[in-house]
Amino acid sequence: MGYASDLLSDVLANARPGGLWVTLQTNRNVAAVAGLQELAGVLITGGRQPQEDLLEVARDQRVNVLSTPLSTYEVVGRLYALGVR
Amino acid sequence: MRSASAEGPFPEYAADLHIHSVLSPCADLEMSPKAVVRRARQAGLSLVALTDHNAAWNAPALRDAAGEAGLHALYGMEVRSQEEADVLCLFDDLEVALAWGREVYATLPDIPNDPLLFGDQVVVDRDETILRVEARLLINAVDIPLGRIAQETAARGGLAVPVHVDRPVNSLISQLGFPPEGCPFDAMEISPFGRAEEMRARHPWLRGFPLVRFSDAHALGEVGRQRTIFRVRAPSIREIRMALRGEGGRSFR
Repeated sequence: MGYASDLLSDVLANARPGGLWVTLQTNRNVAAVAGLQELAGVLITGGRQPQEDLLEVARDQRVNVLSTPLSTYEVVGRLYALGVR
Repeated sequence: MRSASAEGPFPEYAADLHIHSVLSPCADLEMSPKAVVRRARQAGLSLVALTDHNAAWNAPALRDAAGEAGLHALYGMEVRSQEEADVLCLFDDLEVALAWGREVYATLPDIPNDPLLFGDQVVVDRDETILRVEARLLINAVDIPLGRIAQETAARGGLAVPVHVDRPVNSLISQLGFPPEGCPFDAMEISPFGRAEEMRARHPWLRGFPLVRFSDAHALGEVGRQRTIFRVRAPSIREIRMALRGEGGRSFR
């Protein structure tokens, strides 16, 4: 399962547990929200680097953090084509 | 304060109107209204406001603590709009601030806070006694667009000030790019990292707004690290608005 959004409030309202969240946001609250929503992981796009405190929270919350140089649009397109729905 | 004539020159009020309290999950547990007031006095401030995320529950304690210490106070909150842009809503009437706070809170999604993840959200009295713990996650967006927050605040006699517009997260610029046409914003706040002339060069529309600086304090040591001086007859919303517009001999810097 995947969910693409850059609004944390949107993810809090709509992302489902176990899903992969695709975003360009890099701040600490991303990991906190992923932990709260029991997401499988966060994929940060556009070659952006997660901030250090995001990684700290992610370690605590056992949230996987991935990154890609691709844009959100491109990586979501590829994931969807691969069957990540 | 020295007394002022009808025309001025008016007294100066050193103001920090963007301060978090222990109610905001991201603020330190030491940020009781009482401690903020004490720190504000030490820092030479004469006017403060507590602007917690989407709630004004510690405003009554601020009124009490500020009153005891001879400090002036305004009341309000930092609302996170539907677009996730943050804006200060400031009032000089405590009841009006609390009523607007209730309306804002009613549109905040009912997602429970996790204090271990986000921090504690505590309502206290003037003596730092805990009155209750706020259960709903305050650091979320309310279901009101930024433009309407500004209109509703103005209609209630308050000031609407988008916060740290120079920052890449949760700012009017990061979330909307520029203000929607006709939004009644009274000023724009820039952060300690923001350089006014550089911002105005990159965003020419900023020249149409007064720029103010406040601390966005989340820890006691940050209170007053940035401030705006208002030269006004009294620290009321009406007077501050005149100062921002440079009307009637009122001014700010």
